[in-house]
Amino acid sequence: MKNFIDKIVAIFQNIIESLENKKIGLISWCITVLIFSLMRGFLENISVGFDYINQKQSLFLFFHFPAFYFIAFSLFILLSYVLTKEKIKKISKASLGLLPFILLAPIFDFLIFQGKFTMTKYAEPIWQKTLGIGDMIIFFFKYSLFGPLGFLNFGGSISFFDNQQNLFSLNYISNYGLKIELILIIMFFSFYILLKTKNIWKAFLAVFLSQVLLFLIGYFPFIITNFLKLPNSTLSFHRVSKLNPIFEWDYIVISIFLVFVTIISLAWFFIYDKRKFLAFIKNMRLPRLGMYLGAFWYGVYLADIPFSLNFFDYLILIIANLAIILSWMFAVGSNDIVDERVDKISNSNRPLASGIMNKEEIKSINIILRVASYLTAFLTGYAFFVTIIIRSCISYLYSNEPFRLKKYPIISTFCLALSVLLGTIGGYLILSSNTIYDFPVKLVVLILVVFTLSMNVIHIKDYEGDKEDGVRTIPVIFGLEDGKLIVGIMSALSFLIPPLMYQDKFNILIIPSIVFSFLAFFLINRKDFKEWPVLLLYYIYTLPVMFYLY
Amino acid sequence: MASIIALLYLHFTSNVLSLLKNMNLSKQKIRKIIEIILVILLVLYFFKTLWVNIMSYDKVYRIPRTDIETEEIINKNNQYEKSN
Repeated sequence: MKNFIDKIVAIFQNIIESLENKKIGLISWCITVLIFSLMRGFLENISVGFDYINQKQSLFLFFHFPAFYFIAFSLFILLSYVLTKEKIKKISKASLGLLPFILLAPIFDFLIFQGKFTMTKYAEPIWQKTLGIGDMIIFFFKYSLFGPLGFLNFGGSISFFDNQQNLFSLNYISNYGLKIELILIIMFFSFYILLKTKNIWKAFLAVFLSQVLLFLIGYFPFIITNFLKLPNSTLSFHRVSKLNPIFEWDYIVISIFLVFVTIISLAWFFIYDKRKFLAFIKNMRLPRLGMYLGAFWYGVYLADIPFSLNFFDYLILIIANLAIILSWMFAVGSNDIVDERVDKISNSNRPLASGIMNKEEIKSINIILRVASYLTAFLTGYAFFVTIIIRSCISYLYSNEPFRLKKYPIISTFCLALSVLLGTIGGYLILSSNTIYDFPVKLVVLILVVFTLSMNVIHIKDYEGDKEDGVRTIPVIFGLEDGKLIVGIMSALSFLIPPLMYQDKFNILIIPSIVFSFLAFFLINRKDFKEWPVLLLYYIYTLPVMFYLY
Repeated sequence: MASIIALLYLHFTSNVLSLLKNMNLSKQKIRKIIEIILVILLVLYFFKTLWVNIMSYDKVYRIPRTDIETEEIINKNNQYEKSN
């Protein structure tokens, strides 16, 4: 008997080790999870007689399923890390071994019921009232004891232990195949923890904590409705957003999942390599990111939303910001790859230039950032999605050959101005009833001219690198001293444009504009030039003036 | 019922403890025994839960689908509730 058990343990150990030692990158891992989640969706289409291959359900099949499995797998990976302290990269690779199990639920359902009875869906609770945290905890303990995976579920009646049938009818919570799939997953998960730690207490803890995770994921939408004090039904997710009426069920759940996936991914990255993580975060270039986020929020301000926002509207705004941040990080990454040689001269602290991260790693992260930014933008709203796509097109033309627009003076800063304008338009169109034709034309001209003139300042600190790379910025063409003089004059001019364009506000704007233009000229031309005080000056001037103009 | 369970629990634990004391087991050995019991319990839990769920094919609750929530399904669910 002991020999037999040893042999089984050895087989599992071999499987886990072979998975852990496979050469799988981040992208391969993501693609594999995506493939299995799509296959699950397709099989479920057959097993439950619910037509997911209907175009109306495309969002469900292509985004809801994968988002669900990404969050489930990433949570289990984090849990494994907490329990085993094994390298998170190894755990992530080993987790792929559980993927085939997610195909079991539809296969079992099909074999037993031939697609007649069941449908895999979130566990819809039948509690009528809104539960407090204490009630939720009690409900969870009932679930963990008497639910389908419960320690005391012996298949009989549970009324002996429970007199609150209404709060607790666990009959409802999942269908046949799913229950078998979940117990197998918990079984192998706890076996993995036991193999890694040789600690039976941790294996028990793994069973309990995986029940916590499955409870949270399984009841997820209704934990949200409970939190929002809405009826516990999928109907609570329909026609709820005033900003964008099509932001419904799938959009909402996927959006919340994506917010969590982003947080978990950051945690994963931090655990994987703190040094790389910090280098990545420091590379965000906050002042520039702040400019794009500021442009978006200014657009939201211009949209003049005529109603108070609810949770779902705020969710739209959160994922819109997430889309902008992800899209910016993607643009930064692509730029770093193209400018590697230049950065080694003028920005040697950047992750690629300093050698903290290699090209392959940045490329992998970039692909994920690109997909995530497009997806979050798409969920926000179609018009916003278009602005993000156009912005990433401009960013590509700006950094990459054959055009590499950053090489040409004025055109390069015009591209940046265009990106700011698109950010503002994106914010304006967040209210789905707005159209681009309502956007003030005068403001378009103002943003384009002001930013084209003022953004030349960012080229001063890159002078050495740009010179080496043949990027013809103003400081490179005219030399650093004369270049700074010209950039200073252009920035000073940019402050004088608002009072000139808005004659009715001339008297109020002219004096601060003159003061700020002198300050800008001085800060740019002082001997010990630093970029951040100039950008700070721009912010201090721009924020009140923009709100004053509209 | 709770008090009966509590009494039984006390009775058994005190018996088991005195038995263990008489056996003069070292702490390490007691820990080993507890671990073995836990392993057995874990294995039993898995096989029990797997078995219960495999045998629950006749207790499948027919879940109304939000999109096609028909009168027919609701009626069948009501019948199911009554029969249980």
